[in-house]
Amino acid sequence: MIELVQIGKSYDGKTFVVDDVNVRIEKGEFFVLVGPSGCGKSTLLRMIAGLEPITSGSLRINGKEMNDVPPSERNLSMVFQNYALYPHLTVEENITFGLHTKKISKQERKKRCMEAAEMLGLTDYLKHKPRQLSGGQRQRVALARAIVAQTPICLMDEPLSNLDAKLRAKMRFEIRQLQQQLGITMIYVTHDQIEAMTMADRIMVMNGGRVQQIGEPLDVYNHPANIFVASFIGSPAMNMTKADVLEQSLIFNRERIMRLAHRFPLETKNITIGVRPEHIRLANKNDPYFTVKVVNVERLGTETLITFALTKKEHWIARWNGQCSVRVGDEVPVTIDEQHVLFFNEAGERLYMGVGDDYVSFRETKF
Amino acid sequence: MSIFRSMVTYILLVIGAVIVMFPIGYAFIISFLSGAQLLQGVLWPDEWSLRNYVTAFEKVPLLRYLWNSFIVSFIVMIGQLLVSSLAAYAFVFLRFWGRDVLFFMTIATMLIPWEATVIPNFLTIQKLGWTNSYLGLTVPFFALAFGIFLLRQHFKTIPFELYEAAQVSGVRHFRFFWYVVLPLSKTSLATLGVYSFLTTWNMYLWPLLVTNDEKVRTVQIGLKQMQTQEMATEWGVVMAAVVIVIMPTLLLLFIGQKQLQKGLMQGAIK
Repeated sequence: MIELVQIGKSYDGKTFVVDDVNVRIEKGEFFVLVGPSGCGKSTLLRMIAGLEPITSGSLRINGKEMNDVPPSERNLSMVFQNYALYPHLTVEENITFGLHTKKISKQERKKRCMEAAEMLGLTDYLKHKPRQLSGGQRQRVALARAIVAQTPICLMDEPLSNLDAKLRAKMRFEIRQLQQQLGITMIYVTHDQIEAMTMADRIMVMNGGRVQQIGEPLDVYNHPANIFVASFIGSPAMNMTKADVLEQSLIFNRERIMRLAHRFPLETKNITIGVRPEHIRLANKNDPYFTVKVVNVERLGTETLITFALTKKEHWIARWNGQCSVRVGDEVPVTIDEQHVLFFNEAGERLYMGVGDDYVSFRETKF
Repeated sequence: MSIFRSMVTYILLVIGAVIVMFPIGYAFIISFLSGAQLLQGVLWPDEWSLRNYVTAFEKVPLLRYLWNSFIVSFIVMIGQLLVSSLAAYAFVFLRFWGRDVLFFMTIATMLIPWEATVIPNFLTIQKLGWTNSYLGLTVPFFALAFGIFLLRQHFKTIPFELYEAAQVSGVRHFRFFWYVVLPLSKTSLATLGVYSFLTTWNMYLWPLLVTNDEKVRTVQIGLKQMQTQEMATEWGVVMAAVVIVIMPTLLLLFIGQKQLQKGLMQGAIK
């Protein structure tokens, strides 16, 4: 169990690159830190590893304060973004290099190395040097090196970002499987929200050094706490538009009105609404609908992404299953379930409203 | 045009080579001439006899000197490699207060001419009673700012993640230094090794100061001794000794040339 209590990091004593992080990571959990580059997620990971001193707060592993304990005594392993393999050593030597200091017998070292190599399909490459391996194989060597240490905690810093898309998908699965097989607590840093969604038990979304939201992937996807999380998680991103509030209606750029089933609190004047692409659907016969003009169509085979103009300035994307025959320039009737519309206040915080199950209706306006 | 250019280049290079090689070539030829022939102004020996070489070994204990020089150069080389690499490791991989200031102070010592430190060094050696010993000939040269600088620059090219990975997996400093840093810095170590061997081999002033018998005296002093021993110097014999003495230098240069160039280049660019 890893506990972070008000963890902060500052290089100059004034500005904090990581600020006030509080989280408890359970044993055997796959915990993903996700955020755009520069959000402090790697710094946070390096602080847990002990490679970066902690400025404020306290880090506890299994209840023991670890702030000033050197990395070697924290009993964890780490996989680096560029693998950090020793170029002049063979795969086997790379895997067992860290074991020599841990008073492990030669047979045991050999046994662990073989096990790890077998698990990751490296048995034929044990005598090769890293430069003779492909990117995916190097990645596996780095994983094997983390595994043989048999530490209860494993940290990974964007381990898949140097691989191509196909291999990345495969390695996602392999890492996840490995983690479950061995029951290790995994802390995994990535900027790729797909990795975060597919691998994690829980994710922590970070931005600007601060925690935005912690939760299970689907929970974060369905109930984002603020605009940042809503727009960061999900691809294509959630459609977001600023709107003016007029009693039960929202006005977009003075062009469209959206009527809701409930009223907003009186003080709310400006809000942002968000709708996921998959929640905008083609209207059936009896649905209330609004007509939009299609600007772009991307057919991906299993689904079709339709970009349409909500207002003159703003484009939204709808995601429909299958291969739609909609063409650019078509006027199509679409509809949105009100329960799928998310509201955010001016500060970007989520507004939780009594959600009706009506459809929202849009109208063209002329002011 | 390009043929013309390369012709000019090669002609200039040949002229340069001739100028540089002339003293060595001339010394080589003289080493086969007798004293009389030399005075007559003979430029090419009629017979290639090794008489002068034999005399050189008889006149002074040349073999002893060569052995001393070799021992001293070898010890200095090992000492410099060890001290420089350890210091460079600290400057690159350890975090401690005042690290960079300390490094620049180390570099700054390169500005002090070596001759300026000869007297204090000599006094120290004398106090320690190290005159006339290998210790006195070698220990003062172990710390070499240039060596520390050269190796530090090379160590900096080793990805820092390697160090961090070693830290996380609990690898101790010395193990990381010995099994990762040193093997990855072979070229720079070879460069520094050759450099320190040659500079020590060619050292003259210091051995002259701290030695006064032939037990530990090095070969450069031997050469001087040969010139001054008699009123009329037998140049043929002296040159024979010179040829013997420059042999190791030439050998090292020919063997280590590639490594030397690589190493110096690396230090320069990175």
